[in-house]
Amino acid sequence: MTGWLGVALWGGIVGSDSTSFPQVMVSRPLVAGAVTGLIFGRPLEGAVVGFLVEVFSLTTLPIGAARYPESGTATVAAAAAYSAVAPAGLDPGYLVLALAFALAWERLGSVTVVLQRRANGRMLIRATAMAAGKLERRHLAAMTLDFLRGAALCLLGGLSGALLIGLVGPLWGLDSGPTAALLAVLAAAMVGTSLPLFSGPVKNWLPVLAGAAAGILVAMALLP
Amino acid sequence: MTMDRSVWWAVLARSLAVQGSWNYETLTGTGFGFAILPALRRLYPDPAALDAAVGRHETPFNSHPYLAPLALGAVIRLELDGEPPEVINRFKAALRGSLGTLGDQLVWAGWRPLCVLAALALMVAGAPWYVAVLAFLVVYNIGHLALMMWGLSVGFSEGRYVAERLRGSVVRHTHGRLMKAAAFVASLTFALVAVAGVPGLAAPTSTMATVALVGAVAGAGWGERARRVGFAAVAVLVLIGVLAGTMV
Amino acid sequence: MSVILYRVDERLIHGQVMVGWGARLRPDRIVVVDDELASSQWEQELYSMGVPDEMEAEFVPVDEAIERLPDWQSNPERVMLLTRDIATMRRTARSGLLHGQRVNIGGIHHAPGRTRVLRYVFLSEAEREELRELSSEGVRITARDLPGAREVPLEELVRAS
Repeated sequence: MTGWLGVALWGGIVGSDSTSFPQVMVSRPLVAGAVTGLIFGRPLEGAVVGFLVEVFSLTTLPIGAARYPESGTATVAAAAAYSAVAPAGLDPGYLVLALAFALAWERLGSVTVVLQRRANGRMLIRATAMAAGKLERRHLAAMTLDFLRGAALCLLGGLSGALLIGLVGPLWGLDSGPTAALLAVLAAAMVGTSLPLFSGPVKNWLPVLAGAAAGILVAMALLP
Repeated sequence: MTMDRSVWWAVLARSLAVQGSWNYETLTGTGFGFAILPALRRLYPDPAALDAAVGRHETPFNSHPYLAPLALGAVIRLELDGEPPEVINRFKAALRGSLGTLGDQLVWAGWRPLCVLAALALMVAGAPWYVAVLAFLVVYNIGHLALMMWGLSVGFSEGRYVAERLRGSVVRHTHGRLMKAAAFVASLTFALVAVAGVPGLAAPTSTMATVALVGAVAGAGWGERARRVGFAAVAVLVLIGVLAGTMV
Repeated sequence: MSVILYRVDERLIHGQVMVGWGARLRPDRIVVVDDELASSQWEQELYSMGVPDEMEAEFVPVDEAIERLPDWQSNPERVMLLTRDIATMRRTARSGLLHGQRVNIGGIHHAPGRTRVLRYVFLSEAEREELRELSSEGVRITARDLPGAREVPLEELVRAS
């Protein structure tokens, strides 16, 4: 029970951080997931859920599109769900399900962001010259609403995710070896797709090649 | 003329919440009004004059949130110099687009993915989760806060002519270096994940790693569509996993 | 034809234009058509701050734009032409040089007298009328904030609110 209270509280913080306050990026999936896991005493599992959602969020940039998937709150929900129902340790099948759930839930999150912004507009724009004190109160009210939005989104998402993943998880039939390998392939491919963001692999071919070489060397050193 | 230290810090702190009342009518206009209030309170002790000044600053505005302090600093300077409201409005209109573009390029498409990718690489390389997370938060936010503090100061000292100062500043020349660094780290992280796998899970076989490489090269060419292909792949994987379980 | 985009956007040069459309269309030159800005050096400095070094930005009055349009349209250089309001685009179009071209409505924000049409477009009655006139003069008008977004046809924009 205290775990879910923590999810709501942390969800409010993550929901606020992504737009309202203070944008210190605790709303990045990696951070949001790790702390959620920590609430349930499973920080590594939370961090890995965050890791997976993170690689899918690399190319999402907030540059004025209609809506962006809200990956932070979705990660809190998915990591909470995983922590609540997955067997001890890292289970690749359950991780895939948590990832899939996060990718769906972040769509819903983006809808709530739009609703929030409309509500802010209704609350604030009658603002042809709103007096100073009133502006402050309304602004803080909008921020409070955003916190509550994040809390509700994460709590609801965590509980429904736990229900769903708890139901589907036991049906998973692919062995953990191949599942882990497929997940790695997917994750690597998603990281690779972020490369064009950085002036493209062609223009920056030297750092790209150097990075790939360094990555392979480090990975070789790590492998038994 | 200098800005009172307490006002300086109050404006900086409030600019962390400049997007707190984001709306489609004024974008972050009301947030700008909220953030500039401590300075206006000092400048316009008379309540009626204060409300009139606040009213002028609730109009549509938008910039990258981390560069909002630069706009705030410059506008406070203009208010202090007694520039007419018409000039201040034109200044804000001219500045917002540029601050948006600069911030998008430097932070959203540069500094942030660079720091995120480095944190992912750390985790794959075997660093404990808390090291990756804390290193990310600390390093990223040193850049975040430094940019905000620098912006508030430079905006206030240069006022209307802040663009000329920015033209020659390191900030503009940082972009190229950021892109190179991010390209390096993205490529490194990609290779690491392709060879060593997801942290905590078994590494993929060499065949699998090759598939990842091919997938990423193709994905890089797809651009924005890659994300949708990735979604589809996750959905297919879920389907296969569940089918494999229910068939047996 | 080498004017790759005609756009009406109150914010002129900003993130959506530079990062969103810029990455897709790769312009060599940004031309801002605006009588007031054309004579205001300090404002030009501010607007061009976000323009990368490899790109040119210039600010010209409507008269000059009309004079130079044939050159921009035939030159291989890729030009992005921006105005801050519909009225300026309309005046530029009076030359007849925009006949058959597509004009993109990218962002007109909330102001007294305007009502909401789209998330990023608020229009007054006068502006709706101007859009209809532009269209009857052979200019194809659609609204779209970013290249990937839905292209909204004129009919939806001018529909009485």
